[in-house]
Amino acid sequence: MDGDEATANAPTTPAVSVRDLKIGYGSRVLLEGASFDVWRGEILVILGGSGCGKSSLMKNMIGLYQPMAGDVLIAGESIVRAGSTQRARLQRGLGVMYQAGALFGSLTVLENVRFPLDEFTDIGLEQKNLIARMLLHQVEMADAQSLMPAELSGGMLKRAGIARAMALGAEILMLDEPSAGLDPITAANLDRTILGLRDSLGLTFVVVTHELQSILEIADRAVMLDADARRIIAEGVPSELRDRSGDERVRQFFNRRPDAPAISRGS
Amino acid sequence: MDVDVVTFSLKGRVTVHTVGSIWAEAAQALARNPDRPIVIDASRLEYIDATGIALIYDLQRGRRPAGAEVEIRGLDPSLAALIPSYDPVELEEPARGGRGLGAIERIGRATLAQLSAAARMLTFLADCGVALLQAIPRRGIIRWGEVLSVAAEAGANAVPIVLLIGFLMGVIIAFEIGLVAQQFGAVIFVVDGVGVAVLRELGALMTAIVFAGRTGAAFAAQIGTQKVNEEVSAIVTFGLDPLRFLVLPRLIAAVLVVPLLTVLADVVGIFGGALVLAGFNIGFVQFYNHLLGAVGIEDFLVGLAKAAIFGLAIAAIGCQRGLATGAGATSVGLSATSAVVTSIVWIVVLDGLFTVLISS
Ligand SMILES: Nc1ncnc2c1ncn2[C@@H]1O[C@H](COP(=O)(O)OP(=O)(O)OP(=O)(O)O)[C@@H](O)[C@H]1O
Ligand SMILES: [Mg+2]
Repeated sequence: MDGDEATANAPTTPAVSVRDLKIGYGSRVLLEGASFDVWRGEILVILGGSGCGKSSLMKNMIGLYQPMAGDVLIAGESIVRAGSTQRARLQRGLGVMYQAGALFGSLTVLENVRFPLDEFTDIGLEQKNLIARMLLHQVEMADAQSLMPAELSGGMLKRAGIARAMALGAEILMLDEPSAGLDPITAANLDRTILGLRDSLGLTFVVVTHELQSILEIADRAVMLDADARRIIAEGVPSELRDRSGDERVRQFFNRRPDAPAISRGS
Repeated sequence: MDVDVVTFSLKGRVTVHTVGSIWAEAAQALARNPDRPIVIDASRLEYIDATGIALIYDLQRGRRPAGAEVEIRGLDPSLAALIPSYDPVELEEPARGGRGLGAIERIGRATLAQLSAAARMLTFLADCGVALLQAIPRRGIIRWGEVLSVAAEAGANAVPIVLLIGFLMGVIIAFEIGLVAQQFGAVIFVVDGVGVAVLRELGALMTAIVFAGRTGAAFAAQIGTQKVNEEVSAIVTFGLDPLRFLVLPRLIAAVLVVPLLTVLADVVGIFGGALVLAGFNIGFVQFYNHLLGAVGIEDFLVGLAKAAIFGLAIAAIGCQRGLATGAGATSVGLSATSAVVTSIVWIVVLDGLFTVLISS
C-alpha cells in the first residue's frame, strides 16, 4: 500500500492483537501466554500440528469462545470484554471461513454468498447477484452457483465459504485451512487471489494452513503452535524460520522431516 | 473535447454499506443518457472494497451503443487490475432447462412417488425380516449392548411422559363417560368402559403416539445424520450390513419397550379412572371387583400385542426414513418429520386392521 489509507486507520493499532491469551476446553488447556499482533495489510499464518489448537485459537480470536485468560483486540477494541451488541459489531468486520465451509444447507451457493448482503445492505437484488457471482468467480466457483451445498465437494465447500466470508467487504479475513483439499493449481490460484486482495484492497489475513508452499508464498509472518509446549514456539518470517530457526520442531516442520521428536500431535 | 460527455464521479469510501445508493444513482445516470458517452471519474476514491469493484465492473460492461461508451478515468492501477476482464455472460446463472408440467402429469408423478415410497417401505420391512431371521440362530450377530442402550433411551427415559399421558387419559375418559352415565344411573358400567378402552385401545395407542414423536423421530434423525456424515458408507465399506448394525438393535429394542411402556400406561390409566369414579361414589374395592368381571386377560394381551406391532412399525419407519435421508442437514429434518407423520398414520391404520381382524 502506498500509505494513502494511513489517515483512515491509525497505523499504530494492529488489526488484531492477541494479548497473553489462554485457551482450552473445560479444564484442558490448549495454549497459554499467546501474544502476537496482526498488522493491517499483513498476511499472518498460524501453523502447527493437527489437533494443536489452531482452529480453537481462531474461534477465540473471533469471539465465538470466551478465552480462559487474556484478551483479543480487533482494531484496538476488546472482543473478549465486549457486550453482545458491540461484539456483534466487531464480528461483522471480520470475514470468517470455517474449516468445513459452514455453508447454509438450505441455500444455494449463490444465495449463501449473497446472504450477508441480504441481511446487512440495501443493495438491489441484481447488483447483489453480480457481487456474489464476482466473488464466486474469484474462487473459481462461478459454475457451481446454483448448486446446493450438499452437492459440492469438500474443496468446493471451502471456496464458497471464502467467497461468503468476503461478501461484506470485511477488512480482516480469517481463513481456516483454505487450501487443504484443493489441487495444487486451484490452491495456487487461491494464494494469488489472497495476495491480490491484500495488495489492492489492503485486506488483512489470518490464515490457518499446513501447505508449506502456500506459507512461503503468501505469509508475511507465521506463528507456530505446539500441542505439547502449549504455547507459541516460533514467530517470524517463514523463510527465516525455515533456514535459521534454533528450534528443532520448527525446522522439521519446514523441511517436512517427521523424524525424532517431531511436531507433536494432539493427545 | 465532446461537450456532450456526462461525468459521474465516485469519491470517498465505496464499501458494501454505501454502494447501494451510489449504484442506484449511477445506474440512473446511465439510463438517463442512453446515447451519450459517460465518464466515471474515480480519481477521488479513497477506499473501495470488492462491492465497489463490482460496481465499476457493472458500469463499464458493454450493453451501450457505439459512441456512448462508459470510460473510467483516474482509477488507481492496482484497483484497475482487479476489475475482471472476463465475459459477463460467464457470470449469469445458466438457464434452467425443463418445462412446466401439466396437472395430469403432476398427479401421475405424485402418485408414482407415493406408490414407490410404499414399495420401498415394504421391501425394507422384508429385508429387516430376513436380517432378523438370519440373526436369531447365530450368536453374536445382534448387538445386545446397543439394544440395551437404545431401550434405556427410548424406554426408561420415556416413563415419566407415558405415566403422565396415561393417567390423564384415564381421568378424562372416566369423567366424560361418567357424566353421561350418571344421567342413566349407570355409573358402575363406566368401569367396564374405562377398563376395555384403556386395556384394548388407548393404552397401546397413546404410548405408540408418544413413542413415535419421541423415538421414531430420534431414530430417523440419528441414522439420517450418520448417513449425511457418510458413517453409513463407512459401515458398508467395512463389509458390514447397516441393517444389522443400525436397524436391528432399534427394532428389537422398540418391540420390547413399547409393550412395557403400555403396561405402565394401562395401570396408571385405570388408576386415573378409579380416582375419578371415587368422586362418583364408586369406591376402589368396588371398582376393582367390577373391573375383574368386566375385562379379561385377553383384553390386556390384545393391547400388548398391538403395542409390540406399533413399536415395530414405528422403529422400522424411523430407520427407513433415516437410511433414505438425502444429503445435507435439511434432509435430516425432513426425514425426522416424515418418520413421525408416517408412523402416526400407520399406527391408526394398523389399529383399524387389528380391530377388524379380532372382532371378525
Ligand atoms: N468443541 C470442543 N470441545 C472439546 N475439545 C475440543 C473441541 N474442539 C476441539 N477440541 C480439542 O482441542 C484440540 C484442538 O482442536 P483444534 O480443532 O483447535 O485443532 P487444530 O489445530 O485446528 O487441528 P487440525 O489441524 O486438525 O484442524 C483437539 O485436541 C480437540 O480434541
Ligand atoms: Mg483445525
